[in-house]
Order: sequence, then C-alpha cells, then structure tokens
Amino acid sequence: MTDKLYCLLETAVKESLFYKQECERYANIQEFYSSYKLHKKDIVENMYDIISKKIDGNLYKTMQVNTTSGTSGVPLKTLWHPDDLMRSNLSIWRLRKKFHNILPSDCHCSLHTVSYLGERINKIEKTIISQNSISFCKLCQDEESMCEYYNVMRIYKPTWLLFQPSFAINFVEFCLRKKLPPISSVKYIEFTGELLTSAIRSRVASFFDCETANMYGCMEVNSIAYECPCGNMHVLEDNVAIEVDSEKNIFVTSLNNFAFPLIKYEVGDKVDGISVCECPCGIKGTTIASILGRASKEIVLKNGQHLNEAMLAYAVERAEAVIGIRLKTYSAIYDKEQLIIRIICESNSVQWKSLFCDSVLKTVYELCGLSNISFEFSEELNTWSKLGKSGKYSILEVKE
Amino acid sequence: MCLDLIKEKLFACCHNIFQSNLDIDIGTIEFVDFVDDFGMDSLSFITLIIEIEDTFGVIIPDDVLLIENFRTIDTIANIILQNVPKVGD
Repeated sequence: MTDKLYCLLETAVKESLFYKQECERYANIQEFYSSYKLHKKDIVENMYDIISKKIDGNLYKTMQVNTTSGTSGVPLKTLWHPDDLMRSNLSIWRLRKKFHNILPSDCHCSLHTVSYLGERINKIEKTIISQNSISFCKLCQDEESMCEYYNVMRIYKPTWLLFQPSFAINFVEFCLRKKLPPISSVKYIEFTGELLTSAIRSRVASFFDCETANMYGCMEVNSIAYECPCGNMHVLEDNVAIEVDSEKNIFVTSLNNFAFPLIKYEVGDKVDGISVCECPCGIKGTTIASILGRASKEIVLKNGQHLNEAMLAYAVERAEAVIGIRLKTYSAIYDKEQLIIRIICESNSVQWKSLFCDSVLKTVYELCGLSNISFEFSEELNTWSKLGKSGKYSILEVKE
Repeated sequence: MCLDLIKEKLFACCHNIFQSNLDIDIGTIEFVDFVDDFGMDSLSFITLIIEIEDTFGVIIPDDVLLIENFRTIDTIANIILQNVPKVGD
C-alpha cells in the first residue's frame, strides 16, 4: 500500500461518517481496504454521509458536481473540491504534455450528452463553447449537426480532440463523404469512453494525419489509465489505485478526492492483463493489457463461456492483419444464440471476404466456442449506427 | 540553480501562459499577484504547474499544489528551489 493510498484511507475513515461505519466492521485499515467493495448503490444511498465532515455549508457551495452518463442505468453524482479535482487532473496532463506537447490551455473539442459541467441541461445544446473548450452533443450525429461541428472546428481551430471512437469515425466518414479537408489545427486525438478498435484508430489518425492515444477513465474518478507512444496503457498511479478481482472486474480508489472519497469503487468494467513493467517510454508502473468493456455487456453463451467486446475486436483485427485489409469499422449483435457481425468496408473489397469470414469464425470459436456466426457487409457507416441513451456506442450488443 | 535564474526562467513560463495579461517586465513581476492581476484560474494554474515541471525537471509535491501557494513569483521560485534536484541526487 502506498503512502498516498494510506493517507486517503485514513482521512476517509476519520472524516466520512459512511467510511467510519464501514471500517468498524474490520480489524484495521489494511483489512478494510483488502476486503471492502463500494458499489454504485452505496453511493446513491449514502451520498451525504460519504462527504467529508470538513466540507461545511460554505465549502459545499464551491464543490463541483460530476454526473455520470448513466450507462449502467444509474446516473451518479460525485462531488469534487476544486483543489482535489485539479490534483486529479494533473496526472494525465503531465503525460499529455510529455508525450504530445498538449497543454491545458490548448483549445480542444470534447463531447456531451444533456449534462454539461455538472449542470443538468434539459434541452439538448448541440455546441457549447466555454473558455478554450468546445463541446459537441454526441446524441446529434446527423449530417446537419456534423456540418455545424465541422464549421465550429474550422472557426475555433482546436489543437486536440477528446472523442469517443464512434463519434470520431462518424465525423471522419462525414468529412470524406462531403470531400471536406481535415481540420489542420488538430495535432492530437485522444479516444475515450468506448472500446478503441485499430480500424477506427487507423482511419481517424490517417484522415487527420495526427498523433493519437487511448485513455481509460470514468466520471467518478477521472482518468484511470493512459496509453503511451509504445502502446501500453499505464495506470495513472498519482490519481487512482486499482484492484482487479478473479472475474476481471476493476475497482478503483480515487487518491485525490478527499472531500468525497471513493474507495474500491466498482466501475462496472472488466479488464485483463494487469502487470508491472518498466516501459521504454520512461514510465515504471502498473499497466492494463486489455480493457474488456462494460461488465454488463459481456454475453454468457449457452456453453457457459463468455463473449465480450475485446474478444470480438481481437478476432476481427487478427483477420484484418492476416489478410492485410483495413475495414472502416464493424459491430456485432447477438440474437437467439447467433452472432451477426456487421462489417463496413470499401466497395472495391470483394475477393477477401470469404477468407476474412473464415478467419473470424476460427478465432471466435477458439476464444469462446461459438460457431453460429453470420456476416453482413455494407459501405455506409450510418446503416447500423445506434447510440444508447448515454450517447455511447458498443461494438457488441445483445438484441433486446 | 540560483533563485535569480529560476525567476528568469519562470518569467518566460508566465509569459507563455498569461500573454494577454502580461504587460510587465521581469523587474515588476515581483509585485504581481497571479490571481488578482493575471486572473489565474484552475486551468491556467494547471498549465503553470505543467510548464514549471517541464522547464525545471521537478515534480511539485501534492501538499503544496494549491493556488494559494502560487500567487507570487517569489513564493513559486522558492517552491521550485526546494524541489529542484540537487547535484548528486
């Protein structure tokens, strides 16, 4: 246990009524940390008892409220003292600067749904401009909206973009369809919020001709891991401590949120391949080999084995590499024990299709024993694009 | 590294970050309050920290990472001096 983690735990147990009571059930702080798990429901039901008693009425007014998108069904509020929030964000900023020379003051574009800056906005605002930040509504991805976003980018000249992969590829496809040139000011794109496939990354990076990185995080604790130029996802150990259980569920402790501590919080995602390495990029610490996606999206097959987004991505990307082709993107739907894989590709690519299907079939079977798989091919991205109410897109869905 | 050299490099950092508000020279920056006079907010504060860490090769410890500690060039220079790697470190 690091000093920073121990300090957070000790403070939380001392100053939060909720954690004081929870910890009383264990012999000491170490035992509490090793056995405890915090679920979304605990936060919703005990919100005011979790807040540190140091946060009085006046200080409470200065707190920033972050609201999650509600992917798991329960939107959640977390509170941040501005100083804690600044420290929490600093760890990823250090790496953005180190690897891509991006500074907090650089103009950037990101995405929102109906919630922005902690304030719930009932009407959807397509574009919100504030200081050096431009935010686009990810629920609006029709041609008219994309046209508006493109024009806003042309005017404000963002240096970097923080986009979900599905939004980024939709935007790129829109530009290509309309024969619009890339926004030349963009020198870096950070992907977050969804599984990043190599098909999307390569198409987006090639269109903008810029550097890219993947970031894994959640609204509750901010950034959890960040991809270095060597391709390793480094856990931001200045910001979070992570634990992974035997079923690959990830639990995070926010090391900077003293006002509203989150200890061993179950994020709702599955990850794999946690190890400690000394990376050529200069970072020594914990890495995550694979982010498997939302735990709730994992499909339990009839044979008892599991199928998740990362396995599908692996099978498709392996086939791409073996055959030497590049798809625009892909997704799959699981319906009545059949997996329908939908491929979006260029029109002139016909001859490789049977080889591609054979390869994907073989890999998926090796991974989970599923053989009932069919394929559909299309040139148009919009044919199958479907966003959830939180504006997130999953490459693997179960038909409801 | 001496305090005067730190201040000189720090002035260059500030110049990059607070360009529009920085109508002063290295002699008068001593009297500037970064919050009141430069309008330093959380965004420009993080930018200042990142620039300082990059320029001086230091990591500013968590316990001093408060805007209140970074309001004047003197206090900032002293924080850097305390954290800059010593020869032989």
